[in-house]
Amino acid sequence: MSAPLPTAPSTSPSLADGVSRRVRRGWNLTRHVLGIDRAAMARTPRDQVWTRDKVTLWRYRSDQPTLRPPVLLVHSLVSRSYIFDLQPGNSFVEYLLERGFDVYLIDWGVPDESEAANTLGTYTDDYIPAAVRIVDRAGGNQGVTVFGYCFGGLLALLYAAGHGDDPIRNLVVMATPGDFDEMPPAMRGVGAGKIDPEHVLDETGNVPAARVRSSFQLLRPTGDLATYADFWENLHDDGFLTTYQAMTKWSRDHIPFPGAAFRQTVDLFQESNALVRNDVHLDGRRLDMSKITVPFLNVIAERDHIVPPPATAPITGLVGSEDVTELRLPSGHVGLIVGGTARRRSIPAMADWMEAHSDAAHPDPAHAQAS
Amino acid sequence: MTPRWRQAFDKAEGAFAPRLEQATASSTFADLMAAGARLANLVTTETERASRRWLHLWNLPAAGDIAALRRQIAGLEREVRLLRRAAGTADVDGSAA
Repeated sequence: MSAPLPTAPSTSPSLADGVSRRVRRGWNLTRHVLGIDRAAMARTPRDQVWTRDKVTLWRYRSDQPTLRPPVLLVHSLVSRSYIFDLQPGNSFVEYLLERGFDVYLIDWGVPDESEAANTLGTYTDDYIPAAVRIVDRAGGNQGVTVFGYCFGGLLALLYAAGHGDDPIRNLVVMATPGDFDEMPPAMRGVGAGKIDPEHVLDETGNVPAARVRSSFQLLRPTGDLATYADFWENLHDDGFLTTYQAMTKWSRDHIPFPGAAFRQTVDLFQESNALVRNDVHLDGRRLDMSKITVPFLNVIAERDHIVPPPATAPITGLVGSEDVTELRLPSGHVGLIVGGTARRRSIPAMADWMEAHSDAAHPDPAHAQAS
Repeated sequence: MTPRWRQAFDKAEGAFAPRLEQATASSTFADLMAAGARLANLVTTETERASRRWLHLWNLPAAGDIAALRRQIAGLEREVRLLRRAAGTADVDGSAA
């Protein structure tokens, strides 16, 4: 949404194009540096349905969802959940709403000292079950499609394995780490006799956001430089600038990783690789992945440099569901839900699966009440 | 058409990026990172100890004191959360939020 620009006087087409391009570059650089007319993000209207501690359950507004069950999005513990609703026209949530889904999002908030003692169980045995119950009730007790992204997918798996009686209708995990031996070394630097997890925690007892960000930067050391080069090359393009601003903001906007959950992640997954061995013991309880029997979709990004396909693929064989689908898509980790390819290919493919595992919605009193 | 500067950048990046990625993925780099983390931890601890001693000499609180207080408050907040949960008042629905 940029302000209209003066156009260059028409002399010869190439000269006019060149001048227009320079004017546009200058204007876009000015507004970028001065922070004028920044990209609008997370604009899909939504309502707060429930909060507990710093956790918030949001419901995105929709005229009348045509599909049931509702979809509950579960995000990672280290990044911001607005990636699901990045920009108007470039939003996973917006697309799902257009397709007729009733969409909810569980947002973890920004952890501080109060969350340092949060274990993985805090999320999988407390917050997620509570959110699922609320979403199920609001959707007329027809179950919930639980959709986890990245580490959120791991949380969704652990939750589903430990709560077989909960109203989970479908389970979708996207770009989710399963085999931690196949994760990039930069994501496995802590533990395994290398960096002591305690040395990574700050005075709040959490892994600081800057530390989380630097571990992602190590995956592509020249990534930031390449991003600046893209910026400079495409500065004349208003659409590019808008997406650039949104994506760079999100990719630098990490949140602290709660300390106790981080220690468990290192012990259970980075050191013991417990998930792929189906030997996860969480808070004194074994979580057997074969107990997951609901329809299951494992979404793998073929060009994912954060959670590469060999780390994601083994999850497909872990669950006990009869209805299991593995969806491989030609995109990167974030490209699954953001960008043109996501809009044209990845998101529709996931939505097709969810729609095939949903029913036509009919107005019911419970839903009307929740609305 | 791709500008010349971009072609040169891509060429340079294409040459260096794989080597850098290989280097950051190596065991040596992980060892260096581990040593760096240990050293940073040691330096921070020692600096904090020295500055705390000096600040306490003037009866002033140090960053460590504030952090300890914040941890204590967080501990209390967690206890309150547990009590609210036990009392059934932990959740706030949308209409009240």
